[in-house]
Amino acid sequence: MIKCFRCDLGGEYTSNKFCQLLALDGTIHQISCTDTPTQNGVAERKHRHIVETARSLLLSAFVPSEFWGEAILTAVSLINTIPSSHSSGLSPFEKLYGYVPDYSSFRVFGCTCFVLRSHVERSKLSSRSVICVFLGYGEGKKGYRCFDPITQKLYVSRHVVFLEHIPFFSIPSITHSLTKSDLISIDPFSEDSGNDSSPHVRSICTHNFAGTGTLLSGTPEAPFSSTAPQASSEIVDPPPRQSISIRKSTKLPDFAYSCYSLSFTSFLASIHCFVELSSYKEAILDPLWQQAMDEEFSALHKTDTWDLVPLPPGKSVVGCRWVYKIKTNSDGSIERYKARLVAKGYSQQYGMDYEEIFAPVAKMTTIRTFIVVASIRQ
Amino acid sequence: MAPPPGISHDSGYVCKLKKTLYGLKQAPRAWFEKFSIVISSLGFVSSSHDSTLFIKCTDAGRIILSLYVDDMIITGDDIDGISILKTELARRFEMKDLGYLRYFLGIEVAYSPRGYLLSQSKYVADILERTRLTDNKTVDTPIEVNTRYSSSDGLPLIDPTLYRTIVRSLIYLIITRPDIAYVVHVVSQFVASPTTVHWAAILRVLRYLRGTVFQSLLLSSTSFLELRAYSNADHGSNPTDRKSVTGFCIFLSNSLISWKSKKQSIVSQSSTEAEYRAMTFTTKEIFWLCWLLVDM
Repeated sequence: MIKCFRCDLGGEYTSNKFCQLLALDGTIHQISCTDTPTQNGVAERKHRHIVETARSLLLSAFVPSEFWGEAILTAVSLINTIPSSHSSGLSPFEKLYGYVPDYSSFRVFGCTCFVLRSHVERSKLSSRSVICVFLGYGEGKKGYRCFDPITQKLYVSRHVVFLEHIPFFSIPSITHSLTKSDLISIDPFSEDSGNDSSPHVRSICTHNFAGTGTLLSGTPEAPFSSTAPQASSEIVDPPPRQSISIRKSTKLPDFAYSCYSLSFTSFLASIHCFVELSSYKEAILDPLWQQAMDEEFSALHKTDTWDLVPLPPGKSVVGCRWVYKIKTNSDGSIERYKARLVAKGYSQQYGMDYEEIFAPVAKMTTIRTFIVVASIRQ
Repeated sequence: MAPPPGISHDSGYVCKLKKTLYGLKQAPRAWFEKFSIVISSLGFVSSSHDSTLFIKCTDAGRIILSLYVDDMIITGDDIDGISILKTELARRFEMKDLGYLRYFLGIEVAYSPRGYLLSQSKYVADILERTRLTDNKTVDTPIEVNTRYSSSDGLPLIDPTLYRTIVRSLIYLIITRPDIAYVVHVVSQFVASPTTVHWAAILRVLRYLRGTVFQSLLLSSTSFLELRAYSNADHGSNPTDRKSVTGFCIFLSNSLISWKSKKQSIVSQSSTEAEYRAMTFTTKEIFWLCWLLVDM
């Protein structure tokens, strides 16, 4: 039994019929004073919660603010199903119905999705699905609300394929926001709103089509800029999961570098950026590498490393190859191009070509002790 | 050796090597021997407790040189002696003076009046890049508490190469990260046939490392020469062979210089026995460190 009903002076709850209904149950009807929303604080606070959630949904997916209604509906359905610390970790849904809601049906607001066309809409050779923006969950229907800005149609369907990592709209500066007149033609509660093909709507359609074209093909500032050139094909042909993971992991070094000093960052970055060759065929074409190989040769000749002799019968030859390396200074600048002749030691045989091979290296404990002793004596 | 591409030669002729070349099996040994001969001719004596530590004591002071293949650190109180040594080495070998110690074997060294800071942040970043983790999660501990791993858990990995590569990298990372010593000792027991469970353990270490990329080891300059050692052992924790694990860490005053987490070679029948073995192990390390410090 409701004991007391408080509302603002908006007029929605002041009709005679409603007052009579309240009086019938003995509910006290309270109305806040003019221009004093503070007296209706509980409701206003909830509004703030809903509007803030909806705003973040819109902004994070770059959805134009014209879709505020969809965002509010989605926000409310999210708030109702998300566990809240107020009710000791239970969601309002759970509190009401006593069981956990199904979270598996949730999708990223504003993401790109493909809706299967109904049998009536498609012919044998037309495309099976239509590209849409995901805008929420069906009200009273088990389905997703997806809007196609090209045909101005809203679909409520359960046959939807989502590309949750690709927002349908891109950053706001290039988003051709729908004009007021567009908004009138969108009736989110009617599925057939876009069907009347008046000349006015048609012109908007083409406008939007161009708009979405730019949106999808991406710009350097777009969130997925690293794949900007292929972005349009990405929409048609969803990229394999792997490419996404590469994108994420390449972000990490940037994050790590940002914590270093400027000069050290350039050092670390430059270590990665120079290309080192792998074959003699490539190297012989580059004068820089040629010079490097000449240097190595003259060094080998100076130390009199080998004699050219005929191969004794019954003996095998150990191969050799060039290894190319770019040496950097401790500040990251290129010191020199280094070519090194290495023998293919893996084909050597124990007892024939070599015997003892052990060589000691410093123990790390020694090095640490060494540094401590050095720093103490300093 | 087959004549390299780029030199003219008659067919049927090969290069008979009079010196070793990069890539030959005996090359590292030959290099070390060569260096030892040169450095001994300059009056240096190889320490009998770490043969890559070369020491020269004169009236002017003491010079210590630590060699890691072809990288070396030189220190000492005989400034003139050090510069003589450097010119002398530069005359014998083609080498480069990198100045004060900043970057050594992939370890970043930072100096402050409080001491030297050793870190391997770039190395950690490289490992994380190589594994291409798709999320950005971090965890606060390198291993789950009270988890026992055995070689039969989970499904075998199809390609164990990445597992082995990462384990190898992590082992090198222990140089400045005693905090992952234990977990690395665990995961490196399964390199022969790693399974999904072990891979999950590796992923956890990597997530831990991601959160602690910049952790570094301080070798304090306010230390004095006093060794403190701590040792511990568990008892029969390994579910497969019931061997115990030794752990120790040794401080030179307030700088951590030596640590280890190692499975004991023999099954201990009681926790006391396990602890005794751990203490023996630690004591051996202390003895060695004492000798080393005497040498220095």
